[in-house]
Amino acid sequence: MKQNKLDTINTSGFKVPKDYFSQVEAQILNEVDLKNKVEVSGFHIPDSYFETIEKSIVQKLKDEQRVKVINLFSWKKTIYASAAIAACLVLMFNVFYNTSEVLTFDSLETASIENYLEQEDYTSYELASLLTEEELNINNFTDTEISEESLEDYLLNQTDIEDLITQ
Amino acid sequence: MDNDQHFIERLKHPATKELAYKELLTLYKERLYWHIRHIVKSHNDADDALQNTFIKVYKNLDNFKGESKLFSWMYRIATNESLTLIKKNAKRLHINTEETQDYLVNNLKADVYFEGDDIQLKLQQAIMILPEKQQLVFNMRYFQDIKYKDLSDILETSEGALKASYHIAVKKIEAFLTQD
Repeated sequence: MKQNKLDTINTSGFKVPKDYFSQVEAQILNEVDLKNKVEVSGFHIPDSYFETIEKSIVQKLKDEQRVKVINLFSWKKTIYASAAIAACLVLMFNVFYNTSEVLTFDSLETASIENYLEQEDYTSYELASLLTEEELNINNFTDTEISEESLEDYLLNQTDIEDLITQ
Repeated sequence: MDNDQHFIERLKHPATKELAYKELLTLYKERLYWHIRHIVKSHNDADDALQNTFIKVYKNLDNFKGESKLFSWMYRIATNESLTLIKKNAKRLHINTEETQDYLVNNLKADVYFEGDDIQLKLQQAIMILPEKQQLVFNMRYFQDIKYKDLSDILETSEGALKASYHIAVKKIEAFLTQD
């Protein structure tokens, strides 16, 4: 049996990466060279800059917080704006739905129709075209009793004697 | 900071917030300033970015979950603020990345708070041509002596990768400085 005595352990078990020692030498020399050439950056700061910077930052923060109070995005304005938009929408819906309501002659006043007929320029042909043939039934003439008086009136006022003679 | 947790609680609690925040300012202003300054180069830009950083820290304290250390969280904010500032300036002047480097160098020459010799200006030029990550690692390690462990926390990169980045950066800069 192999004995794990101290005198039998030849190596420590520690290892280094390949080419470590040649590399580390070059790295150290490079850095030493560079430090010899230029050690400091040459950057300077204004006198007492670090003493005043804290105050400036705290002041800036305070200013920003104060500005925050006057918020560009105000809830009040948003509420007003949305109320206005809602009102417009309601109005638009009302207008559109109302116009879609069907207009009938029944809903018109007779006087309005009379006015229209009096004022508008139309011919009797146009008026006749609105009447369907069914409406002009022969029964209208046979069933309607015309009193002798009105017939007499009509004949006296509307007809010429020539018309009657030619027929 | 060992008592990070306790400090964060004080920062979040309304009664202790103001005082704790002032302590935070005192504790970190210089470290964060130098971190920012090495990225943006000029003092005026660094001043802007530092103030923005601390204001952002204050505003986001309530969202800080403590998943990382407080200082590495602040360093990350500072890094972002600095890089954003550079990009914003570039956009304002309508210049690309290469022209931005020239712009930063010229900015540095004009900066009254840069009293560098030629060699220091050259060092800055050498840093500026490195990739962004190498720049960050180099600046934080070379000038600020931040430990690799902390760097790993701030930049969310493994220590091994950071060491490699740093040595590559040193080699490139050394080569740049000795090229003529």
